[in-house]
Amino acid sequence: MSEIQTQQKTSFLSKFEAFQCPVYGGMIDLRRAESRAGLENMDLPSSRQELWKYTRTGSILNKEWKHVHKANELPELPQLPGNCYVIVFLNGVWNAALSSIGTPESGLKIYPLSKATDSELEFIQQRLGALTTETGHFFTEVNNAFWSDGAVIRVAQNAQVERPIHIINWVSGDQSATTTRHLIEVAQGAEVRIVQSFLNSCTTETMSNTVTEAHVSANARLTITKIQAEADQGHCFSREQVKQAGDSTVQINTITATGGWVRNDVRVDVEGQNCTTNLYGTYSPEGKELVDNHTVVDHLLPHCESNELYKGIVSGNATGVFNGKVYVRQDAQKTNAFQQNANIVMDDSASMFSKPELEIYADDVKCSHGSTTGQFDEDAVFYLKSRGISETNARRMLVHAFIGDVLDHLEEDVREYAASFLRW
Amino acid sequence: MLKIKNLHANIDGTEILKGLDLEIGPGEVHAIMGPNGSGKSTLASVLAGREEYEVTDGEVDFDGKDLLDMEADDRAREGLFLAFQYPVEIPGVSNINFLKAALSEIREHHGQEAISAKEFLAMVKEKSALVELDGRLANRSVNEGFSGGEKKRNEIFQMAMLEPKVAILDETDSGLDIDALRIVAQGVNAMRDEKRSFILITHYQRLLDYIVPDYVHVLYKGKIVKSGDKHLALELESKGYDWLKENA
Repeated sequence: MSEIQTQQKTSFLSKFEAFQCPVYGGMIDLRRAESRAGLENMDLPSSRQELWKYTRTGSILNKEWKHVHKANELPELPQLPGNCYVIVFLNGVWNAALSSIGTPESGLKIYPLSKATDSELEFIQQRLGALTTETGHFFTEVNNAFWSDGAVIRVAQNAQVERPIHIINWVSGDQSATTTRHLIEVAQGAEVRIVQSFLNSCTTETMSNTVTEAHVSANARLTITKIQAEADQGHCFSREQVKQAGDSTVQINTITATGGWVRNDVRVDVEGQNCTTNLYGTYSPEGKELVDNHTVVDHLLPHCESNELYKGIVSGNATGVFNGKVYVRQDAQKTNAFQQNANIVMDDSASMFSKPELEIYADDVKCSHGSTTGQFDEDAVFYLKSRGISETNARRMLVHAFIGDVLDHLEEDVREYAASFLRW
Repeated sequence: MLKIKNLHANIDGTEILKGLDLEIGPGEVHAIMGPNGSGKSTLASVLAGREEYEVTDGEVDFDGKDLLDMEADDRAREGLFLAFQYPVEIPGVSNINFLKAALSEIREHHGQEAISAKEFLAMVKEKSALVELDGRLANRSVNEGFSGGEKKRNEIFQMAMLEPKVAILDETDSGLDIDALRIVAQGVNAMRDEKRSFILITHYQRLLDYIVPDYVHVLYKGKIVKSGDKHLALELESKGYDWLKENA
């Protein structure tokens, strides 16, 4: 690393040193310290690294980020339709007034890390950060070292949580940065749906760094739907790190409606047999927005299935990036792994970089991957117009049709909520 | 209803229509025939408002309005309909939702109230029966996986739903078997009245046995070179176009 880079890194990290991070003692603090030390040996992300080839980080690394402890005013938050649990983090810190958890149903625990009781500490000590060490990923490591607060969601054995849990990550204040850490445990045979909204105040430059760690036990089911709707001054990095045990099902939907700079890293380690892993995503950056989706599904054992479908519409001067990796390890015989990325590039000035990757070490598997990037079907636009439909509506109908098969995988209430943010 | 005067149109710098004149009164059915490359489909595209075609001269009066000045969607709202020679498949857009959206925009344009769901469904049922279009097709994605005949029947179904003032059928009969042709013709005939006009663009006289035109025109090298009544079509069928080419 050159001296300039070292200086830049020291300067960037010093902003986070000023964060007030809770102290717990034990493994939690130990992992935090290890990550902090690890950062010393890590390079800053740059376009020379494969992980950051198309996504510039200069707009993040050179800013005077600070932890704005108190949001000036309480924002009006969007609501999921129907009854749900709401847990809100304003600038990375739990907000009691905006959250509404009440008394959770039997088998469910929801609380902020900052309010963990002594009886929960053992669990947190054991699990928090257990999956996110050695990711080799700079921003994840920053989160490991400097997280301020986050949600803990634990679903007990065989509990079927009826109401969705809505985590809202809200950032506000000039140059406000957050490091939020969520921890999810779904015990054997349990089932839960989680919606995560990523939002910011519209007028200032912000950066959110959110890592969600999920331990999914045997025969359990977890669905996470991410709705990203930050304004164009927002920088949003978020990572889901999931470990699946046998017979479990995990689905992660990533709906990026808006946002100046958005990077998603989804990683699922499938460490049991007969698992299902579904990753769906859609994005529609315009103007100068950037949306980067990196995914990894790692099949370690036989008889598993993964389905991945990401679809995007890129317009204006916007950039889209998709990099999906599927590993099928030597023991993962009889794996069915499907991955598809399809894009419409609306304007000459818009760019899409798509890289689907399959690495297969087993010899009896069914895998496919593909990527398509094309233009809008102008014949279809004309056909719709020739029936009296306006140009705007015609394009909207075609976009909805295009991303419809991603949105179809969302539950109805979440789809309705997601649609309220989509610009098309 | 539709007055075309001295229409010139280019595509990619090549002039296709070279001073076309045609006047269509309310309730009239005009057939336009002509050899390949004479400009028949260009005429349909130019009237419907396809942007690839550049109109270099001439004017088109549509019920008192300047047609060429309007966008394709406005032309449709004002009552112009084109049945496509090659209907476009649009995966993911349901035939019904698309028609409902079209009908809503047309009604809004005319300051009419939106159609109720019940009225709309009753209309779908009635009009799809007209062209013997299976109810299941109405619910599928627009033209996706439709057979050639089903696509053409779907065009006529849309026409029946949108109730245009002027309908242009661009080779709707090409490639149809006799049963499908009969169904298409039956749909068109059911819609004929003293106000609604039709332009039938076709290669084959056969269509005109089923939809009897008031006038038949021959288009050649971008101009109408001969006009007559339905007997002209029969004459063309037996003699071909060469005798007209010589005159032109």
